[in-house]
This record gives sequence, structure tokens and C-alpha cells, in this order.
Amino acid sequence: MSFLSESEAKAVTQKALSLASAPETIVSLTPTRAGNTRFSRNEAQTSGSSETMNVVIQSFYGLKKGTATTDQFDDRSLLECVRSAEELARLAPDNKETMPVLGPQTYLESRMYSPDVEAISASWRAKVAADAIAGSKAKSLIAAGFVTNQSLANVIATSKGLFGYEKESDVAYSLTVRAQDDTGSGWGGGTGNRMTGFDTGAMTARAIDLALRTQKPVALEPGNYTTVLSAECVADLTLTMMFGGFDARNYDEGRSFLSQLSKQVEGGEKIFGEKVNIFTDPLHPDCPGNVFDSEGLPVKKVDWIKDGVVKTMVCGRYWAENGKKKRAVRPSPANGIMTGGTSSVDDMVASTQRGLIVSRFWYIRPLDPQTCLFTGLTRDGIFLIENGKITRPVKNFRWNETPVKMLRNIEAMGPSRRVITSEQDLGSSLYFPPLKVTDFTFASLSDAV
Amino acid sequence: MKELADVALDAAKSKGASYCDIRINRFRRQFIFAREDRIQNTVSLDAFGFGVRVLVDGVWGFAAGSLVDKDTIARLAVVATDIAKANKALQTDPVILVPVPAVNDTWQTPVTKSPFRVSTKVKADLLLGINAAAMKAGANFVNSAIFAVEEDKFFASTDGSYISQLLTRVWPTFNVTCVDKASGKFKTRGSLSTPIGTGWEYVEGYPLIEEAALAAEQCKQKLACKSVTPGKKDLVLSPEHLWLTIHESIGHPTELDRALGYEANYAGTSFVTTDKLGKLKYGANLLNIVGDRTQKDGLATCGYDDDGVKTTSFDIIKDGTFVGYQTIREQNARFKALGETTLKACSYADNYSSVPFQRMPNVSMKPHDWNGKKVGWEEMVADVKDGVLIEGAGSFSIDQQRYNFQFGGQVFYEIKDGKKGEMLRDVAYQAKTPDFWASLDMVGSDHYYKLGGSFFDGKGQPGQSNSVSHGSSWCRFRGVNVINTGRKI
Repeated sequence: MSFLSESEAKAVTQKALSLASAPETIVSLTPTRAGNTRFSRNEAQTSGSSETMNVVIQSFYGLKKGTATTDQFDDRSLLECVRSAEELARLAPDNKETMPVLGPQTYLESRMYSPDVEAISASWRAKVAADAIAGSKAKSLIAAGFVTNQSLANVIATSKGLFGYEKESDVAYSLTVRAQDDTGSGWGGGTGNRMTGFDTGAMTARAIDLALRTQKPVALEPGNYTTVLSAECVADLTLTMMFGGFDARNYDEGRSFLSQLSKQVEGGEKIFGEKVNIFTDPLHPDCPGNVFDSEGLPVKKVDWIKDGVVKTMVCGRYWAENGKKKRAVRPSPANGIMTGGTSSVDDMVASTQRGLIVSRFWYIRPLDPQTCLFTGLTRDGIFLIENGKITRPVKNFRWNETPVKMLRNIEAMGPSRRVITSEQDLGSSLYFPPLKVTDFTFASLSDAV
Repeated sequence: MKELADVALDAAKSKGASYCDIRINRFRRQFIFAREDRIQNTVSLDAFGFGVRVLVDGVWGFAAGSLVDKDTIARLAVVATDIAKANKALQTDPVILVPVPAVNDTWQTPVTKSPFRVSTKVKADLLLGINAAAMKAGANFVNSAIFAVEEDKFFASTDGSYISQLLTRVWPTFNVTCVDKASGKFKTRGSLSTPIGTGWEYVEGYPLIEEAALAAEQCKQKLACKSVTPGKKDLVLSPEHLWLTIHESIGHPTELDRALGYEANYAGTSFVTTDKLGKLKYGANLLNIVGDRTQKDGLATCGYDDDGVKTTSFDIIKDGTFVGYQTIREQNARFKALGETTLKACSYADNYSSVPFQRMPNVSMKPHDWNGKKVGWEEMVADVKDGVLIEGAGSFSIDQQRYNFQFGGQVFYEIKDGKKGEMLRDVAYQAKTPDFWASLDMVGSDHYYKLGGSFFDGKGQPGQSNSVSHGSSWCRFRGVNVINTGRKI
């Protein structure tokens, strides 16, 4: 299957719309070409490529809605998919919250695509893997990693004349390097939409360096520590807060952690530290985001938190018109960007009498959504800081902490950079800084390396 | 299908592949979502395509496409061999497959009523009935959903196998929320129903309406009940809770690929290293764990795995000792020295476009033989001075080698001096895996044995989702570290 051009995509959506008999229809397409190379134990593991097409038909009969998908886009398959969505819609009870489909919209010019990512070959991926394995073997270490890329188009069209087409390319790499005797482990990785600045060599070097420095850690007592958190850690924990917690409807209904802080939120008081600024900007040069969402709503720059004050929350069309109060429609964040500072990580370490520096979090899950309390673990590099210097690797901890506290207890902030989250490869559009925070709660020891 | 499959097998062999398999799959999924008094969406997902996997000089290659015609199949079979050749320099230990017999067979999940033959109206009415019952009982909000999956799978390989399977799974579920506007607090209570590898008959036999009303009552109680006092306590755990603890602390660490380091870059490795096979005392003598892809109603149950190997049942932990890993075909020859020579058929791919790799079979805990006597939570509570009874699965987190875990639940009750007392909130327990299973001192009878499970268990890069069941009876654990999760912000 060849990658669909804008005109080809338009023809497919028009064909699907012409087959529809429902009063309103949304057609979405995602033609995708993807490839990956996975390696472990210093050798190849699995590799593959795929060419797929995803067609989504949403049919509307007044307040009734049905959705059907298919992987095929020949005329017969499109017709079957349209009929399936329409049958589901006709059988569905009325949903008073169903909103009319959108007409033509104006979108920003997307920055999500770069042809150098689409040109990535299996040989290039194999070379990245070979370099990681060679570098690890040279230090008597064991490498496991994943190199992946995809090129796709996000296409949407409606029976009211909306048409959106956005090409996207993504590349991601992650590497875990471990000591042969299982006493040390390091990680490096990143993601991007273009090859410029996508430095797999630096990511590999970081993983190898950490694998060497983390060996034979000592156990430290659990407790509250001043902690230097990597940009990956900050992004991971902040992201947990933004999902659900920053939803206007959940907030109005009393089931967001912000609900109990509603007086401060409504009064424009600081909920977080005054240096906390988090926003979405689809046109960020190093970390762009999609320019429209799954409904076809345009995504534009929006401040979520400015100078520690909650400025707005995600809000769907129904709630914007029919909620507790009139609100602006705010699509879900297409990317997450936190304004950084000027401190280097070395500065943060140098100014710490006794504390910890953490390179990565793992297995973050909610403990109590009411207080935005999460649990997780450290992984692939945690070190003790004494008298302004990193002195020794320490054993991993489980932590129980809320990002609200983390973002209130900032002592220093470094420059932001593009990061990849701990449980995601492609599609992390996050740009966060490292932070030095006080009083971070490490709850119990983990023997895991 | 056979004709299409042979195109791939022939094309791969002509390009030097020593082995090739092709899966031509149609996966149908239907999801219906409801909130309070309305159906939010009914979704029908249809994924159809093929995936070709080849071995060239002991190196894997894979390619997949959604256009299922002879030309595309032949072209992508060659792409798969090219990928294998591109990786040849990376491979130092060639993949060798132990021989398996050629199979021409069909298999399907035993189903009385396929969920795909039940009308959308019946499903929608059920969800609206659940929601109405919860709202009537005092819930402020309720979300409910029905998930149904049908995997129509055709497998062919150069071993001479041609296998057709039809797998069915279904899951009705809901989640109730209660809000105390005065205090700004809110609590949730999720359904104790389970995803299961059977048909609509499970949905018809499960008291969803009654449970929705109970859930709303319990949710209101959760807002008002007392906060737990942390410390070492005895735990009495229901099967609806324990499945997740089994999944995370026994299921994943006993996967051979994790122990060998194949998952080091994502899910992690395992504290159950290969030198511990047959030696590690995993838990108390009462602990008996079985891996089983033939288990009735199991989410991972099927006739053949995605390597074309016949499924089976095998011991993982016997009388408290670790005796066997979960494995896939390619591991038998490469790691022969470990003594894992039985084919255990744990290969699975979650779509035609996904590479098959090691996934968890149903991993379940055997109930204790009490000579016919019914033994459940009441018998366990009678000998507990200070403990907590937990029903339902909640928060979960475990480290990358599966040592340190922390679990919550849906509802918690204080146990004092042999009696189940009032409801508690803010409960989680944290332990180290071998310590926790060593503290097991009572296993209930088969009368209370139930399956729990996960519809969406993630693993691998690129990420894949597996469905897997875990059965157990009630169990009691002594002296586990209980923490209080209450905070102020």
C-alpha cells in the first residue's frame, strides 16, 4: 500500500461520505507505514515492518451515534463499514450530549512531518542496534533496546464539509544496558519528529555510562529527601496529573483533585510553585503537536498553568455549552511543554548538602485520585548526593508522591528538553526540565536493579 | 486461505527462509460505553490482514499488511526476508526451532451464545439498567461498558500446519463514583465482574444490576468510613482481588523471556533467574501455581498458540517451590541446558500486524483440598486478631524485577479479634514478592474458586495487549505491611 497523498486521502473520504445515508457522518483515516528493530542479550530479537490503513466511520442520526472501523479501503469494505456504523447508530438510544459534526475549520500548518524520518530503513535501525551492542560489549555490558519509526497521515472529513490532512513522522529509540552480574543498569532514549538533533549516539552513551556508575548500590533508609529529578521523571509525574485531573467536567463534578481547591482555582491563586508554566503549542520547533483532534477541532497554543496558577482545563464541546458555566472549548493537549530554567544539573547537585539524584521512574500508577497521589519506582540510576557531590549509587526505592507537591517544592529548574515517557515509545510529545525539589517521599526499598 | 498462505510460504522459501509462518486474521471487537442515563458510543472494530514471519540463517524477520491479496503477500514475504538479512550481523546465536508435528485442525472457544449474536439493544438496555440501579442506590456518577472480542485466526507454516481458530472473550463492567460536596472528597467502586473467555452466558449469569446497587452503597460508605491505621497486619484476600497479585508477582516473573533479559528494555527482567529453576522457595508449601492455556473460560485459552504449538497445562510452582517457566517454541532448543524441554505454547500476537512473542498463559493458584469442607473468608477471619479483608482489585505497581509491589483494592474491612468489622479506606499493602508468598498460611476450598483477569495486559516493544485469566480461592497472609494512602493537598 502506498502512502496516501492529500488528494488520494480526500478521494477516499469523499467516497466514504458518498456511501453514507445517515444525516451526519465523520470519516477518519490513518494510513501508516511503520518499522522496528528490537534487540536484547547483545543480539537481534524481533524486527518488522507493517503497512496498515485504519478507517473510522462515525454515523449520526440526530442524537444517536455509532462507530465502526475497518483496515480495508476498497469500495466494498468502505460500504460495509459505513453500513455497520449506521446500523449501530440507528439502534443506539438518544444521547442528549451528542454534538453536531463540525463544518470546515482552519488549522495551523503542521510541523509533525519530516521526510528524513520516513526514509529510515531497516539497515539504519540495525546500525543503531549494532553500535549499542558494540559499545556495551566493549565495557562487558549487556544491551537491550528498541528502534522504531513510523510515517502516517491523520485524515478527517465530515458531511458538513470539514477536511483535515496532517502528515506525521515519528522516530524513537530506547536502550537499557545492564551489568553482566545484574548489579547495575542504565537507560537512554528519546523521540522526535525529525532526524535533526535526534542523537542516538548520545542516548547510547548515557545508558552505558549509567550502567557502569550504578553497579553495586548501597541501601539507604526510605524517607523524604531533597531530590534532583531528570526531565524524564518530571514529565512522567506531571503527565499523570494532567490526565483526568485537568478536565473541566471532572472538576465541575467534584471528581478532580482540583475540585477541593476550587476556591483557589476560581480565585486565580497559585496552586503550584510560581515558576511552574505548562502549556500546549502544536508549533513548538523541537516538540510539535498535532494541529487537530479526533473530532476535527483545531488545536492551538494554550496555557494550562501560568506562574503556578491554573489558567484553563480540557473541555469538550458539550460541557463548554452545557456545563456549570460557559467555558471555552479546549481539546486535549497535543503536546506538553514546561518552561525550563537556567540551572544545570551540576549546579543542582553542587547546591545539595544531602539528597538523591534520580534518572528514571517506572510503573507509575494512581493511589488516590482525590489527592493526585501516585506510586512508582526509581530505575536505571539513583545516586546519593553528599556535600554537593554525587558519592555513590543507591538501591532503588518505591515512592508515593503527588505531582502537586513536587511542583510546589521546586528549588531549582534546568533547561527543558524533549523526553520520552517511561511506558511509551512513539508519540511522546513532551518537553520538560530537570528539577531539584525538596521533601520527595521515598516509601520503601526495592531490591530490583 | 490455504492458497493465500502458500504464496507467503513459497515466496519466503525462495528467498532463503528456513522457516516461514503466516497468520491471516480477522479480529472483531465491539465496545459499548454508557454513562448515567445515556449510551455514549457503540463501536465496532474490524481488523483484517496478514503477518508473515520468517527465519533466515537463524534471524527473525516480519512484515504485515492489511491488503490481503497474492501480490501483496508475496511482496511482504520478501520484505520480511530482507529485514532478517539486514539484522544478520546482529545475531550471534541463531534461532533454532525444535520440530513440531504438522497439524491440520480447527478449534474454537466453547460458547453457548456469541456476544456478537446479541443485539445492540439488549446490550444497551443492560448498561442503562446497571446505571439506573447504581443511581437509584445513591451514586452521583456511573460509567459502564461491555467489551466483546472475536479472533478469527488462520495459521499456516512451513512445518506443514494449517490451523483455524475462533476465540471469543467478553467483559461487562462498571465504575461508580460518589462525591461529598461539603468536604470535596470523592470515592469510586469498580465492579467485581471479570473479563472471561466465554460467551454472553457469563453476562446473563452475573448479577450486574444487583452489584451496581451494592457498589453505590459501598461507595457512599467509603466516603464516611475510618482511615486505616498502618502497620503489620494479616490479610484475607478475595479471588476477585488476588488475581492481580498473582498476575504481577507470579505470572510475569516466571516468564522465561523476562528471566533471560529479552524484556530488559521495557517491562524489565525477573528476580526468578535461571539458576533458581527447581530450587527457589517461592512461597509457603500451600502455594501451587499452574500455567494453563486449556483452562475452562480462561482468557488465554486456545487450541494452538501463535507458533502453531498445541496448548497444554504445566506446573510453575509446586508445594511452594518454583519448578517451571512459561516458554515458547524457540526457547526449547536455545536454552536446552535449562531443562525446559516441554513445549508450553505461550506465543501470542495481538493483531495480524504484530510479531508473535512470549505472552502469559492463564496462571492460577490451586485451591486447597479440605476433604469436601467449604473453607472461605469466614473460616480465615476467625483466627485473625488484627487484619484487613480486601475485595476487588485496585491500584497496582511493581518494580522491574518483580520484587517490591504495592496493591490497593475496591473495598476493605477491618478484622478485629476474629470478626469482620467496619469498612476502612486509604488501604494499600506493600511487600517483597517471596516474603509475601511465604506469609501465605491458609488457602480456601474449591467452592470459592473464581477466575479474575485482565483484558488488556501490556508487554513488549512495540507494545502488545494480551488477555489472561488467574483463578484462586480466598487466601490468608500473615503480618503484611499495610500503609495508609490518605494525604492532604
